[in-house]
Order: sequence, then structure tokens, then C-alpha cells
Amino acid sequence: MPIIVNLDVMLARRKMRSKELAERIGITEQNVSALKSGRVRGVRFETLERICEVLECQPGDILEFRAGGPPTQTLADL
Amino acid sequence: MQNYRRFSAWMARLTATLALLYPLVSVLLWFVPGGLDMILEGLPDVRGAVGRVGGPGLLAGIAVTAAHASLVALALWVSSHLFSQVSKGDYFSPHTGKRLRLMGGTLLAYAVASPFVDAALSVALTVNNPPGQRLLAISISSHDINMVVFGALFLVLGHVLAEAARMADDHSQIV
Repeated sequence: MPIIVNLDVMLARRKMRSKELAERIGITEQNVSALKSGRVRGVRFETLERICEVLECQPGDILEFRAGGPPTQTLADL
Repeated sequence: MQNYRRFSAWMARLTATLALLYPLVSVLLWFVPGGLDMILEGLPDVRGAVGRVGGPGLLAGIAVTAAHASLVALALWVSSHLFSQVSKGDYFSPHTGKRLRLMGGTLLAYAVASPFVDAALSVALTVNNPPGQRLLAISISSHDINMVVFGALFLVLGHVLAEAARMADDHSQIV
């Protein structure tokens, strides 16, 4: 699944650090880091909702589909 | 939960000791007084026909019982690891399923081998008899059937737990 996570781009636009985002959405910094690098199997709607709320953006700003891209890498593949 | 962990630590030690002792005792039974009577308890049809036990018959008997006992020892060793795992608070890992499957497979192999082991023992114990008095006893006991059921049950449980652990691991990667 060539789903690209653009969370780092949105964080840079909002000038926010991963640590602050993690604190505000209630997940660990490690999970935010894994999400930023796309090394997760999925994102809960609940988490996505909180990210969008904090970063004042749409889910489409964070997740992007690129046809023909490399398959999504997860922690299990590493 | 603390009690379960303490109990599991004891059980881990007990099963590991039994795993080491079981094959040893099964071999020693051939040499200690009264040991042969204990071996013959499982072979009532052969009991009256056993003459002098020695030579190749004795060696074959020892080899067969040691091989059969080593299957029980393996199952005990695996269960020791399972208990040890629980005693350390590791309740739900991919190892649990794998170990349960191995234990189930070993018990199943033990049960399937039992009628053949009994048959081989009947030959080994009567091979020194004069021609015409040697026996080949074939029997299946309810104990063997129970063991097949338990072995299969452990196999299935192991598979279910391995699958559950895989799903839990999958779930942990969803943020």
C-alpha cells in the first residue's frame, strides 16, 4: 500500500515539535516518530481526528496515496 | 497473579527435573530389582511369557523405552519453558503458541508410538524364549486414545494462541 505519511511536513508548517504533538494528542513520542516515518500498520480514526484538531488540517494533508510507490513499511518488516 | 507466577516458577523447576529424570528412570528400571515387573504392568498379556531377559533383547528393550520416554521428557521440558515464561510475567508472546504446538505434537507422537512401542517391547522381552514361545503383542489402550485427544487439543490451542499473539502484535502497530 503506497500510503505516504506527511506528518513531518505538517509539523514543520505548524512549527510544532513531535514531543508537543505527542503530548497534545495523548500518544507516545515513539508512536509519533513511527507514524512520521510511516512504520505503522494503521492509524486509528481517533488518533487522526486528534492530529487534525491539533494541527488544524484535513486527513488528506497528512495521508497521501501515491500509485506505484514502494509498499508501506512497518516495524515488523524492519 | 503473583501467586500464579510463584506457582509457575515451582512448576518450571519440577517439570525440568522430571524431564531430566524420566528417561534416566525408564532405563534404570531394566536394571533394578522389581523394575521389570513395573515395565510389565503396561504389558499384561506378555507378563506370563517373559523368560530370561538379556543380550540383544535387553538392549532393544532399553532403546525402545528410552526413545519413548524421551518424547515425554521433551514434552516436560517444553512445559518447563512455558511455566518459566509465565513466572517471568510473559503471558502472551509468540513463543507461547509455538511451545504449546510443540508440546501437542510431542504428546501426539508419544500416543501414536505407544502401540508400536508395546509391540516392540513384547518382542524384545520374549526374543530369548524358545521358538514358538515368542510374542508380538499389539494393543491400543484408552490411555493412548486420551493422549491423542490431549495432544491434538494442545496443537490446536497452540495454533490459536500463536494466531492471537500475531494479531496482538499487529494491533500494537496501529497508533
